[in-house]
Parts: sequence; C-alpha cells; structure tokens
Amino acid sequence: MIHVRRSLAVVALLGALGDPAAARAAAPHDMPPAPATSNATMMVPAEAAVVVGMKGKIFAPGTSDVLVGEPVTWVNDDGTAHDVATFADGFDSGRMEAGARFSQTFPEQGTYQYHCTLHRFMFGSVRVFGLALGAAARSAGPGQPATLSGRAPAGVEAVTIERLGAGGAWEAVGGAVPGADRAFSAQVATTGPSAFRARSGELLSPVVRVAARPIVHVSATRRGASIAVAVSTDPAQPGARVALQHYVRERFTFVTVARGTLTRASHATFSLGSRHYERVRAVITQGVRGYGSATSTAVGVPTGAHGHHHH
Amino acid sequence: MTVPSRNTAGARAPRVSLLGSLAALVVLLAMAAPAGAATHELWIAAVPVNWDIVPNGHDAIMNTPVDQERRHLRTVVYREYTRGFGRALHPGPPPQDRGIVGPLIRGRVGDRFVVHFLNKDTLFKRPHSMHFHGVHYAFGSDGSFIPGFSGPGASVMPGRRFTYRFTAGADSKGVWPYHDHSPSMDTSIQGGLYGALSIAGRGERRPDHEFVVFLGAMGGFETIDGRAFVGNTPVFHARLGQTVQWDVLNLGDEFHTFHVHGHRWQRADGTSEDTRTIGPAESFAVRWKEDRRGTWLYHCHVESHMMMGMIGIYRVTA
Repeated sequence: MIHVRRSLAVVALLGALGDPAAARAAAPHDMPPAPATSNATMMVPAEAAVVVGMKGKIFAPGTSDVLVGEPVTWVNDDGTAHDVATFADGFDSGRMEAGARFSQTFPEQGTYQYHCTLHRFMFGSVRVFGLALGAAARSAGPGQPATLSGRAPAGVEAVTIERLGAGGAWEAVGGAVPGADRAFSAQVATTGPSAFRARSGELLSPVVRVAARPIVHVSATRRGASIAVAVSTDPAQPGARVALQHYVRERFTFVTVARGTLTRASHATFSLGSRHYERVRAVITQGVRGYGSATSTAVGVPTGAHGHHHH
Repeated sequence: MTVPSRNTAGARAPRVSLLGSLAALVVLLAMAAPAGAATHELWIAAVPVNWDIVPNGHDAIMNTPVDQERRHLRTVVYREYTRGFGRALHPGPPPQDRGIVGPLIRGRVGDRFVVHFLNKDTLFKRPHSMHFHGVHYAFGSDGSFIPGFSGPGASVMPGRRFTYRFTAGADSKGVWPYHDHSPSMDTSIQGGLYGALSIAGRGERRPDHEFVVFLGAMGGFETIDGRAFVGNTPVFHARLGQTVQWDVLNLGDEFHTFHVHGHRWQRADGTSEDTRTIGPAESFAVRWKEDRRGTWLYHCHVESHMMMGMIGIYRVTA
C-alpha cells in the first residue's frame, strides 16, 4: 500500500477542466508544491485516463499517479454529494452531485493533497511526475536483467535509461521509444543492487531502485524427532534476517516457524521439532549490502521413525 | 459519558438509611435476574485495523495469485477489551477460526447483558453503534439512528462511549447478528463491523465446538469471516463423536446458500438438508454429532461466490 503523507501541499494551476459547473479560474500560489517522492515504485498508470471514484464515501484509489499535463478525473459514483478541494488555495470542484465528474490537470511535478469538505474523513492525493518509471520486480537474481517500464508525456520521442554508477555519476545504459500510448519499457542489466532513472532532456523520472536477490541455499536432515536445517547464501549476507518456513497443508501456504539472523559467515541453523513429513524453506526477509529478499527452494524431509501421522 | 460500574452479580450497593435499604431491596428484587440466570458485562470497542483478506496470497484451488494491492482493507472492527477498556483482550492477529468478526457473545435464556461500547475509530473518525438482533431491550439500547427519535446509543462519536442493556427472553434462543446501525452502517458492514450473539436454552447442553460463519462481500471478494479462499477462511477442526454447531449469519446485499460436504442436518419439520439459503440479516444454527473423518469443504453454493472466495475447509479427525 502506498503511504500517503499528510504534508500540506499547495497547488499552482491553470484552471479546472471538465465539468463546466465546477470550472473556476485560480491564481497561482506563491508556495511551491511538495517535491515528488524519490523512492516511488510501481508508479506507471495502467492507462492514460486516471479516474478516482467516491463510492462508500472513500476516494478510490487513495493515491493517483499521473504525468505532467495529463488529467485526473474524479467521478461521483456514490449516492450522496461530494466535492474535491485542497486544504489551502488550490483547485476546488465545487459541489458534485451523484454522477458528476470533475477533471484537473497539473502542469508541475509534485504531490497534491485533496479532501471532501462535506466529509472530513475523505481524503486522497495526486502524485505528478515528469516521466513515470517503475520496475516490474523490485529485485533481480544474479545475472538477471531488470525490466523497467514507464510513461512519457506527449512530445517525448525517446527516453534514456540511466544507472547510478559506483562513483555517484549517472551513466546511460539503455533507451526506449514511447509507443502510441506513451508507454515505454527497457531491459537493463543489473550488477548487484542498482538505481535507475529515465531522462528526456530536462524531464526526469524519480529514481527506481532494483535490489539484487541473493541465492538462498537450504539443507534439511532428520535427526529423530526433529529436523536440522542449515541456511547459507550466495553472495554472503552476514547479518541478514532469515525466516524458517514449513508448508502447512490446511493453510495452503508456507508459514514462518522460526526467525534468525545470518552469521558473519552467512550461515544460520534451525532445529524444527516435528515427527511428520515436512517441506521446509528459508526466506531472507531483509538482505544486507543493498540486496533484497529471496526465498530458497523447498526441501522435503521424510517422517520420523515413530510417527505416521499425516497432518 | 460515565456509567455506574457494576460487578458481575449486578448488585448495587444498598443505601445507608433503613428505609432507603428496604426501598433498595425492593428495587433490587424487582430488577434481579431470575434464579439461575447470569448477568454478562462486556467491554467492546470499534477499532481500526489494516485487514488482510487473503493472507496466503492465492486461490489455492484454482492456483491463481491474488494481487497484493487488493488483499488489504483498512476498516473498523469490534474487539473485546478487559474491564473498563484497560487493554485488548486478544491483542495481535485473531485466531484462525474467528477472522474479522467481533467477539462471540454467549449466554442463556433469561440472562442479562450489559455491553459497554467505545468508539476508537481514529482512522475514519466516523460514528458507530451496536444494534443487537433477537434480544429484548428498551428503545434507548436499540442502537439505530433515527434523527429526532434515537438517543446517544444510535450514533456514538469517536472517543465516546455508550452502554447497551438487553436481556435474552425465552424467544431469544438461537443465533443472532449484532452490527453497526449508525449513519456509517453501510460502509461499516461492508468492512466487517459485526459479530454474533449465541443464546442457548436454560438447560441446553453447549456443543463441543461452535463455528461462527459470517458470510459477506468484502473488498471485492466474497468472504467468510472477512477472509477469502481456502486456508484463509476459517479452518475448523473437530474429532469424531464431538458435537459441532455452525452459527451461520449474513449481512450485506446478497443471498447465500450455506453448504457442508459429507454431512446433512434436519429442518424443523424433520426432513434433511445439506444446503440452506440465508438472506441479509438472517441467521441460523445447525448442529450434529460428528461421525465422519475427512477434510470437508464448506461454502456458499452460489457458484460465483464460491469462485470469489466464499469457501473453506473443515477437518474431522479421529
């Protein structure tokens, strides 16, 4: 879930679009908008049209991501009247009866908070970007490329993908051409944890970090009424948090039964008390040195000599 | 609002003067619960949670993943507290067989109930209330909002409290829902702000297990106790020879048909069934003595509801 910050942001705008009844000229405000968050993920709007509903007195989605110059449209699909307004001087849809629509376009990057003046618990925000960029997966295995995708405003013919180098300089590592729907994607190599951004002239996207995933090795041996489990990683992840999980049939999933930390030699051992057949796996829940989380394959351990329970 | 505190016997301290003591005694006798009946005092609050509808992340039967974003719902639920709202009785995740549903309030015909309610909704800051089906109460404890008529118990603002009082009459035997009936009712019910009342007969033997099955649409899924798909919906357990009782309730806009595999039960007229329709605010309890091992599906037999998560497993072992 995207966490919505409550900072007071102010809007500089050119005027409301859409519902003529709600149209209103607004003067630019002298406070700059809040800066766009630099660690945003999955910000690519699925379609060009960004629509916010109000059913059940809730703005949904609570946070909308849109590009500079593209509209956000609010639709009152609830049974009661609402409105969309910012806390300080900014846009204001005016009263919207059920079925009404209101659109707003944002010429500058930033985060804009809004709420309904009729229902004080209804609030949402819009994040406006010059270029949108996201990664399909937030981590990549060793040697695996990362797939980045994004959207560009109209008029952008080509986008360069840059990676943050060891020296702190951005270096071009790829490029993409936006399609008719202005979406673009690129595959880029990862060398351990990486940070990427997209550029087109002065337009920049926020930085997208792609963690690298370590390989997690697990071995499990039955020792009478318990099972000894050994965990290691490649590359080494000393101090990483690790969880031991076993498969619980009636939950149809793996469930954590123990937690630990990898030693300086990147090892951890667990003892699982169980006479039954078990499938176990280890999960690095939090990597170190910029690495992300990773899960080992599951290994099966036969039943103990005395137990035949099929649980 | 302050409420005079009562001990579980429900007795008020007698006044000092003799006449006053006699008067108090008369009042006490007139108000006292019939012999053998109990008074239950509870502290229940409406609290915000970030609820996970699909903890195992998938529909295991169809082998399809469930999107991370869809799984969670910020909502308000009923949770039980210690005396005077000292602390939550069961902090942390609810037991697997309870889910989102509020505390199961149990009693017998003739019992009195004093339920202190506190609105701790700091998330949406909405009013809430408690409205109880099936039991006897004065209008002040109805808990449903009628502008110009209802009192403070019908729309309790955040941070405020109200005490509901009701009794279980002879005709209150059975299972009943309780839920929000304030102006926020519609959204609250879609978010799981409900629970069950289970009233047994005076001499009735309680079952070994009582399974609460609350059916309802939630967050785009069809849920049982606020969970969707096997492994997330309650996993009930019983052993051969034990008596099990299924308390089935429904709140929302939909009709459901409750069905259990491998078992059947009797209607009032003595005929058998294994599937029963239940409409909004209806409730029923069915009971049997367990006689068949296995991992049995229980689900709503409206096919689309089942496919959208209204299905669970029930495990009977030796």
